[in-house]
Amino acid sequence: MAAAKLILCASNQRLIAGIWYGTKLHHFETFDNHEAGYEAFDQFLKQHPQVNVYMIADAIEEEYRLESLPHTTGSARAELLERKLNQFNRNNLFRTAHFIQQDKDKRRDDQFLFVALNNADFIQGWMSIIQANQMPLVGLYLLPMISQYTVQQMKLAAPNILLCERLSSGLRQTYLSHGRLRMSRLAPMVDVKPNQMAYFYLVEIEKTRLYLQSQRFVTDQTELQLVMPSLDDASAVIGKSISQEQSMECKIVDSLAYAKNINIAPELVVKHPELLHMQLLANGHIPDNLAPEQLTKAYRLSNVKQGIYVATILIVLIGLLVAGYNVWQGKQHKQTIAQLAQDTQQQHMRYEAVAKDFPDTPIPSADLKNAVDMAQAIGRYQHTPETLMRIVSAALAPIPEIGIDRLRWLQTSTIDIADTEQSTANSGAVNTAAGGDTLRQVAFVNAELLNFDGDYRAALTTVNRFVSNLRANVNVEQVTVLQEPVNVSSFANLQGTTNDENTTARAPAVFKLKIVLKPTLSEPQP
Amino acid sequence: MKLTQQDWQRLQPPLLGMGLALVLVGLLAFYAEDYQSQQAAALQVQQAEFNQARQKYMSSGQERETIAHYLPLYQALISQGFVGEEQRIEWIAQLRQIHMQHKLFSIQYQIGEQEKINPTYLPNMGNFSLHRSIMKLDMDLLHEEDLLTLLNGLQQQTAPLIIRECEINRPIGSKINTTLLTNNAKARCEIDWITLREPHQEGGT
Repeated sequence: MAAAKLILCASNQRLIAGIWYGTKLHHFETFDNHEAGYEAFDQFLKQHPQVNVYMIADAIEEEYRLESLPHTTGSARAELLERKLNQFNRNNLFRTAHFIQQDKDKRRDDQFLFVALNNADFIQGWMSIIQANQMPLVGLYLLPMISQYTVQQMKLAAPNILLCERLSSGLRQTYLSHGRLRMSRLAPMVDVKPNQMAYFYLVEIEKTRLYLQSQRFVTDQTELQLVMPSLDDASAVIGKSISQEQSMECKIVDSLAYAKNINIAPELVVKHPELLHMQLLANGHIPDNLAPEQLTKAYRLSNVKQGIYVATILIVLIGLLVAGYNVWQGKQHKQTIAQLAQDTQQQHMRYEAVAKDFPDTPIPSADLKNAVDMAQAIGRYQHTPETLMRIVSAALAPIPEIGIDRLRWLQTSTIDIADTEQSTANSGAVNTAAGGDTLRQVAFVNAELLNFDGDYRAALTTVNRFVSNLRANVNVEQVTVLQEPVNVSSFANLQGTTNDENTTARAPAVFKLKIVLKPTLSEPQP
Repeated sequence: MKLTQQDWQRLQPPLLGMGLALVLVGLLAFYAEDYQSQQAAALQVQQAEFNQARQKYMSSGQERETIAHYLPLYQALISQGFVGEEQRIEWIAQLRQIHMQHKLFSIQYQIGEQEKINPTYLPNMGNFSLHRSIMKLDMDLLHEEDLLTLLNGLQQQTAPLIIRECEINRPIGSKINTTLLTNNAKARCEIDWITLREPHQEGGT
């Protein structure tokens, strides 16, 4: 069911209160403007708690002032309008600035109609009851501001229209320029007999016309179209009479047909013409609000509360959706897991059936292979110093004056090793990834020149020959002389003696080499 | 719109409701997400198990061939002492036999405590763990050939060894006397005795 709305229309005499559900009038009541009426209205409100209240004021003492203001927007416009409202209607509680249009000249000023209720005494009683019941008041609207929607909906395009509506409170004349409200006045009809009605209309329209001229809304040359919504045949007669007397174009429109169009029973409109305006409001044609913020606070708070409730519901719904999706997905996974577990079991059973015929093995087949591969890999490093000894022997054969004092042979994971270091295979490096992925043969050879006679030049030549012989071997990758028989570098000290060649004080001519063999792997030994 | 304390009091119930809803929905969403994550993880595990089982079944023919091919080799490794405990007594006996057979000078040996290693120059060990004992040999040599004789003799053994380092020293200034049977050099070697252990044997060390 659509949200309920309570729409009120207050005049000096009475208040019409109608409950709408959406755009459908549910029921309405009228309350006279005195104590009994207030009490009844109070009871009525208690039957409809927390329903949004829209109030239309059909007042005699209204003020309309057209003003052009410099074009502004946002907070600057709000401040400017507030200042102007205080300037024009300082003492009026109910007031507003209604935007008309923007001028088309160079300045492009904004035209505003400043509207106010000069005397709001007739609604104070109703307002007090509304406030006492903490009803959310949406706003207060002037009846002629709603009337301009009537003209727009009836597609009346004349530039100057005087809309004459016969209401319960009297004759309401509203002047609209190019469809926009400029001025309105209510003339109460007290003791006007039916046969005096045409005259009453004539007099009041003439008064309005003079007022419009005095305010320079129109001139005496302006063609003013009189629009009369008719509820009965009398309107046509009156219209014809005014047309003849005032030389004005008078257009009679069928109010009852219009009422039907906007979804309200015509018979109700005949009794209470204001219901037409109330229906327009219910249909969503809501003009500018005249009520100050403090009176509409309950409504705003109610909106905030509703917003919080809506947000809460949305959060709960989204949370439930997300949680529901996750749970659903989890359940799907669970089902898939169960299915997969069955399939896995089936695969195991199939495997077991096949594996029955396998030879008995203490460990998995992959590990059998790993163990054999490992043994083969170790078998590839079954080297002894024999190869190196043969290489050194071959290199020494043509040089009998060299004698070997020391030979250190290593199998190591890095060839960048010093003689002072242990083989990396013996150090912690063996257990890390820092070492190489093969073992290399490296050797350090300490030798001396036998029968050295102090001829260092000849000694160096002999050592170089030995090194060349070593390098000539195809299995040798690198030979480095770590220590020469004599250090002839300009960056080191050099000392000795020139004594007789046979002296026993002569220093031995020792030297040191580092030999790296090319990587070779033994045949695997299964 | 300025809100007074009274206004806040009016807004309190919906705000509290929203807070409560946020907490409850948050908890619900958290537990649902957690449940989903757990199931997703379990699914991955189960999927992996299934793939493994299927792969195992699919490759059962190959496995049979692997067993047929490698089981005898593996059994040979066990008998050689490469898999399982070191057979130190046999090794010492072998050393003595080499010594006697080739009439070598005295050999000093020392076998260190076994340790676990993970060398980079060996392939994937699978479920096995690799161990080594460092053996140190010191001996006098009549000739360098004595060392090669010993090392070749040791390598004839079935247990896999890696001769890691050997150093031969000749005393400085010494002359080789071919008329006397005496030591002309000294040798010192370090050898890694490598053994594999099956996972179930690991606790036994």
